[in-house]
This record gives sequence, C-alpha cells and structure tokens, in this order.
Amino acid sequence: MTQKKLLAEILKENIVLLDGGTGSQYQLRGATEASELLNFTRPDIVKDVSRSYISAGSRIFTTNTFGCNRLKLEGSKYTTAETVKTAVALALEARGDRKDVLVALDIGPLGRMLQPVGDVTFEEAYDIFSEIVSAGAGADLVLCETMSDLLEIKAAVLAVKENSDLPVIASLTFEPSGRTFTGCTPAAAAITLQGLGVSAVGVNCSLGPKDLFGVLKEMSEVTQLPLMLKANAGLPDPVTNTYGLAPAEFAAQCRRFLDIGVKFFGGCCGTTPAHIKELARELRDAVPAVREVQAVTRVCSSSRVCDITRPRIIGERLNPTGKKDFKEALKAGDFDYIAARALEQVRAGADILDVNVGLPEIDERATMVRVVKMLAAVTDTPLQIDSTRADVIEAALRVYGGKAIVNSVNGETAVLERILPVVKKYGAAVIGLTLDADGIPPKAEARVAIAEKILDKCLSYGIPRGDVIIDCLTLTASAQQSAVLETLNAVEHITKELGLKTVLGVSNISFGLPERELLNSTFLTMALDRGLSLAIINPNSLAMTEAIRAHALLAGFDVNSAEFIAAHSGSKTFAAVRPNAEITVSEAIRSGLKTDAAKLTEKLLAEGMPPLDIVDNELVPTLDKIGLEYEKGKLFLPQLILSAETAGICFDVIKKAVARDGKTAEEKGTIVLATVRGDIHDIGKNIVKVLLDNYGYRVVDLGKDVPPSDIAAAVAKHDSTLVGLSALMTTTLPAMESTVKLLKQQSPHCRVMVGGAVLTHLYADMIGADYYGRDAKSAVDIAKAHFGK
Amino acid sequence: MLNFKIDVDRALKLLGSGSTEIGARIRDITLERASQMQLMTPRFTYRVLPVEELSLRGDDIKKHLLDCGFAVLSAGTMGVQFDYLMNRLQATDMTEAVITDALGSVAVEQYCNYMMESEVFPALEHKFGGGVKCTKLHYSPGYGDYALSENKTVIELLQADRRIGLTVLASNMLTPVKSVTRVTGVYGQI
Repeated sequence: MTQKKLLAEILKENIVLLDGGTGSQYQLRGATEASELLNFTRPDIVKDVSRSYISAGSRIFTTNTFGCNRLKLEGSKYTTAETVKTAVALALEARGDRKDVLVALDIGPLGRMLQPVGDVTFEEAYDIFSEIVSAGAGADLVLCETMSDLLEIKAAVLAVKENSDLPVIASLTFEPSGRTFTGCTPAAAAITLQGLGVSAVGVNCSLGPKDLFGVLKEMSEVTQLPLMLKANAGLPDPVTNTYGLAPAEFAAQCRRFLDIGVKFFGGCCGTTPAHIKELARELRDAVPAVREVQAVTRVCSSSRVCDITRPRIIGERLNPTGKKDFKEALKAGDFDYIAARALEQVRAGADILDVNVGLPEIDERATMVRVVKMLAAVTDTPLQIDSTRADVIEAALRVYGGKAIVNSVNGETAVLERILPVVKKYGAAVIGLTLDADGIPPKAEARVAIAEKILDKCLSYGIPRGDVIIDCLTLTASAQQSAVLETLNAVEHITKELGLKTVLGVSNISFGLPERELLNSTFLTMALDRGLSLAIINPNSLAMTEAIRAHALLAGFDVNSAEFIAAHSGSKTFAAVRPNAEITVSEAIRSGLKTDAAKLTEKLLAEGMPPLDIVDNELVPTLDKIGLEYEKGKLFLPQLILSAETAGICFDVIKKAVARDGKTAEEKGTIVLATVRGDIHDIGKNIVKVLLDNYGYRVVDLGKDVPPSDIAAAVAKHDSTLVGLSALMTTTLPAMESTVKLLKQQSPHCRVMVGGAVLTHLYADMIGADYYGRDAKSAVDIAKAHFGK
Repeated sequence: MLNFKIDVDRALKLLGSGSTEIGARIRDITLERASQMQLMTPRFTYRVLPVEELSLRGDDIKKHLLDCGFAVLSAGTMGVQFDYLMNRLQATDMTEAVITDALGSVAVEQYCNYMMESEVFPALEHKFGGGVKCTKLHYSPGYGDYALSENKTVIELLQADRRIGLTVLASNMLTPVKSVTRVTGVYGQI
C-alpha cells in the first residue's frame, strides 16, 4: 500500500493518535542544545523519542523541525534545507518498518510576527515556509502548528499546497480568552482554513485539555473537517518550569472532546509518551460523535465572522467611481484617507466592506494588495474584493487573513473559467451577476437561468453552494420602470427555489430621479421583504441603515427589538448640531471643538469672507500662536495635536468651498514622510504629519518600516524637495543613515530632515541630514524655511 | 480587564503636561480612553532562574544582580489588540492616538508591577520563605550595556512567543508595541 493510500485509510479510522511533547523528552535524555541542532549532534536521542511515541501508540509523529526556519536558524552553521532533510531522514529511520505509522513534517511559527504588527511580510513568510516544505520530501503529511496569526498559517498552508501534494493539518494556539494572541477566533480560523483545503484543523499548545473545549466546540460548529486536539499537560509552574497534569487526568480530560467529534488526539508541552499511552487506553474503541454542521454562508476576517443568516450591509464607499477625492487619494497613495473612509462605514453599520481600486492611472494589483493589507490593520470587518481582473483578485485573496467575497463573475463562460479557479483556491465566496454576453435579461426567468448556470459552474469547481451569492441587478426605475419588479421577482425566486443568497447594489434604482434616498430605502425594504440577503449601500446614509434596522426588527431577526432600541436610545442622530454662538473660529481651534470650528468656518464663508482671508487671518495665526505656546511649554503635545486636527477640519471646509468655485487651493510644497526600515513605531512621524498637513503642505506618507529604495522612489515620483525621516530606537539609526545616503545620491536637490526619540542634532549632522527636527513644531518651522511659505 | 486603575496623571506627564494646564477637552479624552483601556486583556509570564543560567552579557546587568542567587525573568504585554487600536486611532484621530499611546506605556509598566506583587512575590515567598527580597530596580535589555539584542534571549528563555504572544523584530524591538521585558534580582535569606 502506498503511503498516500495508507494515510487515507488512517484518516478513516475513528480515532488517530499523534505524538506529545518533545523538548523536555530530549532534555530527559541528556540533550543540552536547541532541539533543531540535535538532528546533527544527537540523532540517537531524536530517534529514541520518536520511537517511544510510536510504542506508546502514536500513529502520526512529527519530525524534529518545529524551529527549523531561516529566521530562527540565523547564525547557525546549518541551513534550513539541511536541517529539515536530516530531520525527515531521522524520522523515517525511527519509523523503521512500522509502515502503519505516518511521519508529519512539523512546521512551527516563524518566531517573528507578520505585518502589520511585526516586520515580516506575507511574501517573506511564504518563501520561508516554502523552503521548509521543499526540503521536507519524504514526509507523509504536514502539521502546521502553534500559530497564532491566521495570515501566517495561511502562508504556511499555501506553501505546502503549492510546493507539494501532501495533506496538511493546520493547528493554532489559543489563549484562555478563546482567541489567539492576534485576536483570531476559532470559527474564523476553521472557516478560512477549510476554504484553503486543509485536511483537518485544530488546536495545540496553549492550555490543558479542559480549557480548550470551548475553542474546539466553536470550530466544530462551523466546519465539517476532522478536528485535532494537542493540548499541554496543564499550565507550567513558573518556578520549576514543569507541567503538572498527570497522564490519566490528561486522557480523562480529552475524552470529553469525543462529544464534539474530535478525531485526532495528541499532546504538546509537558506531555510524554506516558500521556499518549494513557490516551490510547482511554480512547480505545471510542467513536467521536458525528457532527451536524449547518450550511450557513459565512465570511470573515481573522477576528470577526459575519454569518449571512440575516440581511447584512456591504459598504460601497471604497470605490473611485464618481468620487473625485477617492481617486485623488488612490493616485497619491493616501492610504489614511482610504482607512478613514473604511472606518466611517464600519461605524455607520457596514458588516462587510467592498474594496475597489480600479483606476486606469494606477497599478491596480499592487494598490489592491496594499489597501487590503492596510484595511486588515485598521478594521476587523470582512472584505469584499471588487475587480474584474483575476490577477488582482488572486493577489488580494492571497494576502487576506480571512474569507472574503469576490465581486464578481457573471454568466459568461470565459469569465467564470477565469475567476472561479481563484475563488476555489482561496476558499472565497463569490457574487455572480445575472448577465452574460447578451447583456442583462429583462425578465426574471432569464436572470434565474443565468444564476443556475453560475451555480452549476461553481459547483463543478468545488465551490460550495453556500458560497455562491447572486446579484439580480438593479436597473434604473426612471428608464426601465417595469424592470423593478423583475429584479425583485428574481431575488425571490433565487432565494426560495435555488436556496442561494442574493445581493443588490441598491442606489442605482433612483438614478435621475428626485428624492433618491426615499426611493432607495423604499426599494431596499421591498427587496428585503422578498428575501434579499446582502445590500450594497452607502452605510453613511441613515435612511438606508435605518431601513435595514427597522426591517430586522419587523422580520424578527432583531430579537426583542434589542438592537433597534439600543440604536435609538438617547439618539441625537437627527438633531442638528448648532455652532456655539459665543466663540470664534480661533477659540474653537484652541479648545479642539471640531464641530463648532467647522460650522464657524462655514459661517464666515457664508458671510462673504474670502477663503484665503480666513486662512491667513484666522487659521494660520491661531496655529502659529498655539505652536509658540507649545514651544514655551504653556501647552502640551495633545493640545497641539488637537488644535491642529481641528484647524484641519476648517481647512477641509475651505478647500471644498474653493473647489466649488472651480479653483484649487494653493500648494505650498510636497513633503515625503517615512519611518525608516526596521522601525514599526510611527506615532512620532504621524504627529509630524498632522501638523504639516494642517499647515497646508502636501504630505506623502509612506508609513513605517520603509526600505530606503522606496523612499528614494517616492521622492523621485512626487518630485519632492523635502523628506522627513523618523526612527525611534538606536538599532534603526543605521537604516536612517543609509536612507540619507541613498537620497543624497539619487536626488541631490532633495533636503532631508530627521527626527525621533534617540536622535540628536549631532547625530543628524553626522549622518549627513540637512535638518534636525526636535519635535513636530520644529518640523513645521523647517518646512516653512525650506519652502519659504 | 485591568485589575488596577491606569495612572492617568502619569500618562499626561509623559506627554509633557508638567507645568501646563490640561484643557478640559484633553482631560475628557484622556479619561474616556483610559476607561476604555480598563477593558483590555494584558498578558504576563515569568520564570525564576538561578542567575548563572541566564548567561548574562553586560557588566551593568551583572552588577545589578550582584549578591542575587536567583533572578525573575518576566515579560508583560498589552497585546496585539493595543497595536490594532493604535492603527485605528492613528487613521482617524491623532489626538486620541497620542494620548492612548502614553496611556499604554504607563499601563504596561503598572501591569507588570501589579503582577510582580500579586503573583510573583507570593510564589517566591512560597519557594524561598519569608526572608526573600527583590531588587527594587527592574533591569531591561537596552539599559546600560545590557544590549537590546538580549531581548531575544529573554523571550526564548520565557518562551514568551508561545506563552504571551511576545516576539522581537529584526531590529530587536519588542512587538506588540506596548511590551516590557525585565530582569529582577532575588536575594535575602533564601
């Protein structure tokens, strides 16, 4: 029998035992060095531990490769490839002629965190894991374990899938709170990993078995996949560093997991062959419960699952179509603007965010990847990737740590064949538009027929029915009045007869008509009543979100009206905010009264004060005065920032007024800002940004951990003559120095200001910087002097 | 949930409030942010080790542990949730971001002190008896000639990555952003 067939046979068994802890077992046998090195120095010990687990009853045991990766082996005399190959060879020797036992290539976490929290990119992580997988030939399967970041384990699983044909078990480590350290929930992990095609999911390390029941229970409710439990022998004693849970008690605690259908059992830290032996005894002839998992359509980020069991809101505002500011932000790479638009929608009630960055002037693929990564750093709201290009969709799905929706395919065979393989590979859900090469059929029946074709094609690619969402297409009532009911008929038929979820972009209904909000919300209510599952709307429109809330109450989704009441208790949403008549713009800025400041600026404009006069006579003098008081120690940092942000709101009001008059505001100059490579602390840089922004400079913010070459490229692209670099720690100062050097070579006309906690004037001079910015205020002074305004 | 009240005044001092009057708006924001932060779940782990097993590098840390037979190696972190919170605030409201950042710095120190008192010290008394004492000063990688790169060793010894999700960057800075590692000497009649 081949190993593959054997594996399939073993997977059919009721219970499969894995191995237990290895580190303390190595030590027990006299090992003194890091586990990975033992593959070379004490192969006898490594094999002996494996054999002891086989004798105890393990049917699957792991190679000694948990810490074998490029990052952890840095400075070692062995490469990843040699170490992994050696470890696999040892495992095969240890197995000997016990052909009923399988060898799992063990892949542990990188030991450094992925962006946005850490400094490792998804692409680097994938490379590192690929190196391990490629060297691991000979193993029967792969165990990716002890991960806490869903994106990291996704990189590992993709590395296995794309570099081998081995099955993979994916296992994360959870905290007592029931989440991983990065906030990933068990359900989100199970949903996402199932989509990626793993053979089993589970939990290892973390805690003792009894404290992990909730974690596996949550997984068991959202996936049909086999589940794995590899718990610790309780909690470690910090004084003795030993684990106390005895084998019999450990095994007894594991038994309960049969009730939720767990099939793979093993141990992690502190467990021994005795624990596995006891498990074998305890679980002999045991049969895990058969799970009934409800087929519910779900999407998720790594920390939030959105069940589409009731109407949900997809926010439509992350899209350049018809939005001048959004287009400008995309072109300028202003990701903060996009983040703010995303958070605004989330606050307004969006359950899912549609992301579209299609603009001919920009690299859609690269931008989409950056935006998806940025959004994952600021919000846990699941994403919907909106593009017509398969390469853009794939690039986005790849770096997304969750299960997204793809928007969209349609009834054209070529489109389906181009996009669906990508949807399947990454386990996404997909929206199918009911149109094809002949356009949008006028009648509901024909749209249903297209929906059926899309469904069939999805099923043929292995995309589950629940992940197929049909867009019945909203046509404009002013142009095609009779089509309104056809759309609604199609929604009802597809919901009831095909059992699929439906979606509509709502606002198109009212195009060209007055009172658009009224028409939009009425149409939305009609559609909801016919069974619409997802509404693509502007969540900032209160009329729309209120319609959905009211419907949820009346249709019984909002049990006991709790959500509706919560949303409306003490609600002042409809009350107009009146400016405080007693104060001036300057005072509002000084006190940080943002709403008042905006209203007062509008008032000045309405009274006929020229925009530039407001800037020159009100805003700038106020900011200058506040800046001076800050320098003198009369105000402190938060006050300075609050005032600058408040002034920024006044500037926005003025910019809009100027734009209404068909003019553009004066450009004072472009400044590129970045926190240097290796440094992820960027609050200092962001403070500088707020001030420069609000003094009217155009700031190109490259973010944190930025390589010198990216900074140089941005300077060239934006033809900027001033760059601001920030570094917090001494360890990243060399990166600052090399950036200055590169800038001086590539853009000799460009001046560099540097700042950050550990910098001094002396050091700034030493590394060849032109200016030293002591604080954010001095950065403004430097910019003023540099640009002469 | 934090078992102690974040020292708001200390956070404001960190931001330079010293001699200035704190405006009502800033105080409101600070109190509001602090009360929200009370709900956070920080994490802590520690080990008690004989000093010779620490394989210390640096004269200053050796001096710090002179006469100490044992040391407590500890690490605390506000967790990744704090990083995400900062990401959100920095995209929407820098005033709140700056204040929250300072509150985070204060909170993680307070938290580690709290855990030392409420968990570590009782465990030391249990192990060594009532005569045990701890050095007042907690030493951290990056102080004196105890290099920042020693963070890596501390994290390995504590297995802090798998126990509390604490790791280092290539530049040896700790991540999540509000995290602390410490070496505390143990001496007295033990």
